[in-house]
Amino acid sequence: MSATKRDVLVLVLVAVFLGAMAYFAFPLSKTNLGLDLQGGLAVLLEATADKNANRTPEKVDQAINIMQDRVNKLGVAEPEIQRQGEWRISIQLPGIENQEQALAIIGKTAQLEFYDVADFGTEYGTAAEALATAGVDSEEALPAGTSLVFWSKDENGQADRYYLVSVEPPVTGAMLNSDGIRVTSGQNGSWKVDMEFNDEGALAFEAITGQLAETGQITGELQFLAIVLDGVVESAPSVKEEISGGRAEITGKFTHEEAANLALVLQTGALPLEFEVIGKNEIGATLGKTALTQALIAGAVGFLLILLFMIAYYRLLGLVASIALVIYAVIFLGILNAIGVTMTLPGIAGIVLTLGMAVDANVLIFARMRDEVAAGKTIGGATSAGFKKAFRAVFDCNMTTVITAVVLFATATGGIKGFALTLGIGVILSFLTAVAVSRSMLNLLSGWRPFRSHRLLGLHVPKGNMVRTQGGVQS
Amino acid sequence: MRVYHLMRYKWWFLGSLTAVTIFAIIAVFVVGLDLGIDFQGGRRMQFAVEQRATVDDVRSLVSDVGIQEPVVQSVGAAGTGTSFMVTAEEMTDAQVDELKSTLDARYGLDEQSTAVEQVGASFGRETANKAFIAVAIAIVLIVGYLSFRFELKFAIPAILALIHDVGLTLGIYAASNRLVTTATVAAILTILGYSVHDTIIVYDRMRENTLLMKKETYGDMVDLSIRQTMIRSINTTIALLLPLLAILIFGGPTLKDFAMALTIGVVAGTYSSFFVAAPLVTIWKEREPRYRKRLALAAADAQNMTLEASTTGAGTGGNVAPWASSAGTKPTQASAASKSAKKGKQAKRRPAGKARKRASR
Repeated sequence: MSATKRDVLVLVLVAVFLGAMAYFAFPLSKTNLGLDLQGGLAVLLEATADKNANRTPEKVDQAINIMQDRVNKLGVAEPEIQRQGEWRISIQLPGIENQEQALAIIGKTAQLEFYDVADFGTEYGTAAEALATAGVDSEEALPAGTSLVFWSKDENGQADRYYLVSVEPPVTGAMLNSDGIRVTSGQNGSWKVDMEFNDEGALAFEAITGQLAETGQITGELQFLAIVLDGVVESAPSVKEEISGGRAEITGKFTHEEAANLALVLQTGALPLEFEVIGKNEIGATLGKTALTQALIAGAVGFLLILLFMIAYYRLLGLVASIALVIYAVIFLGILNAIGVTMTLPGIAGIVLTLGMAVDANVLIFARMRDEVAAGKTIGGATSAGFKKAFRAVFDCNMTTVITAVVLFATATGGIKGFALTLGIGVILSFLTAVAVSRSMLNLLSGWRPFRSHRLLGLHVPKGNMVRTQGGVQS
Repeated sequence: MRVYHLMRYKWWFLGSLTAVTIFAIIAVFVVGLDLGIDFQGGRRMQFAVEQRATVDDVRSLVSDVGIQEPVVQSVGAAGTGTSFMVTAEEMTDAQVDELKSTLDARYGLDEQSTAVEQVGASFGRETANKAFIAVAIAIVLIVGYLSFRFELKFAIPAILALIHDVGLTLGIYAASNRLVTTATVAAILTILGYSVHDTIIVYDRMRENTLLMKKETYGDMVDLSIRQTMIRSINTTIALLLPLLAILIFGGPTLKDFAMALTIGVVAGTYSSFFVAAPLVTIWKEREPRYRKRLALAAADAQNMTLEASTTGAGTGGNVAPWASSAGTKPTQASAASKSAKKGKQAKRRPAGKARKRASR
């Protein structure tokens, strides 16, 4: 295959690829924007060892599934729930209203437990008081079979209460039938959640209520059943008789929304692990848009400045490099969109940076061509020698940046990972366009009249402003 | 164009830049880096208000809410006084809400332009450790790669030049009390990858010239290599500084921070290639027997200066003479003599060279 044929082939392939990538790249609004550019709430949750004695990776996966289920039921647009590392889950909720509330629902452990209240339902004002009655100084020292639950009760000016309860709840949220959970209106315009137990739950509920009713009849004092969600008492009804039929309800001071949210977490089930928020980032929509506009302007101005610099300094050669840079930019954006990269602010920084690095290869090659022309070579000879001699340095330069991009990608989290990704892909791609595309273009254009003038090509060397290379002279 | 005999002053460059690096590192340890919440944990709140406010106004409001040791900065376009960033190690949800409502009452808060970021302390420490490990891994890999492509005597000076670049960047951050964020760390890692570019360009020329210049001293060869590559190194740096400049002017706070660190590092990376990496390689290489021999020859015998044999050597030597003698240092008598000898040769050679060039066109 002749050299000309090869160059034509390279350019045709690049043109086809360019067309395909342009399809993905434009319009620019197709790009997935990260939360920092469109506003939203990002949270990093961790299942810490001190809160979860029995954490396993499988449980983290289960938790992710449950969270996804909750998100779908909430109807949040395009949420992203991903595992990060071993014990972390990252949740991203783009630009929705009431992000805080959505997060509270998604991350709620929702461990529902029905407890038998000890000491005939005595309420205690403080935890210390309850513990003193039990004859111990700390919660850990409570006798086996009892534990302390908290009842926040701020209605009617009543202070918080504590209950001593039997440990090992006889009935839990796991025994609910998720299809039988409804929100219904209760008394005084409040709302309640109706629940239906599965067979096992129905039997257990019947047993505990029966037992409580019996104790009540013997002692003559009403017995209470504490309905506890994540360690906080939601309600504590008194039990007068055995309840069969597998139905129960949680009444409280719920608004419709609160009742609906409670129903939602009960339907999706409890998370198998407790999570702690270790990082949170909340960005207003306007702020994101401003950041995006600023980044785009900076990118566009930077791009234009580079084009101007290259054309001013290297003239026609600079123009060729500029065309290669434009081709690079389109293909790059196309690839990023095609593999579905979410664009973040650091990611854009990476793109802008690679624009500057992309022309590096061309600067090195053109400088070599100047050396060769100064040493007396023809333009054609200088072109091939320039590309050949500059190749090693260009390759090594790009490799060191690829190395750092890989290190950064492997160690960083969040937005910085996006930066490492765009930097790495960009450097490799720009190496290809700056070397292959500009070489083929120069070779094909070499016969054309303007490309035979040193002055137009930017290969003229001002008088006395040259340093001769011996290599050029000798070869 | 003249070739500057930089390598004759290599100890001066190394001495002064070592001093600069040491000063910078002292600044880092004495003044300390202002590690942001990304590494220490805490909360950062950014907001825009509709009416102008000063940093002091905002600071007093923040203190009234009960937030301890807040850092209040004005962000956005200089002096507009409408966008602020409040950072503190402890800031509860209640305090944030209270601050928002106070701000709204006093200045009119733009809820859509508000951002709150929170990082747990242990997560922050983990981020800091990871950043440290990432920098260490990157340095080791770059040394490895350069040793593989060149040799260890090239790789170590390149890393010392990198330490100067990164040290200077961090020193300036410490001295000017700039906040270090994860973006700064990303920028420093990018500097690690990018500042070796210019070093590689010089090294590549040195690798090539070593094969062509069989008789010159190592220092002269390095001087020629630097002269041949300096313009293109500066041009590649300009090509990178242009977009960074655009970000510094038009970008938002996050991008500006990133571009700032990179700008310092990239400029430092360019000159450190010539004034740190190349001199160190020269010193190390000139200890090798064959280069020591050439050095001895060059110093001892001025009349039979071996440089004359090559066009390049003669051209470089001849032009530098006026500059070198006007400089404050004392060239040895032998080298001064050799220079005048070369000057004579050069005058005769130049027209011939030109004629040859013209003929080839």
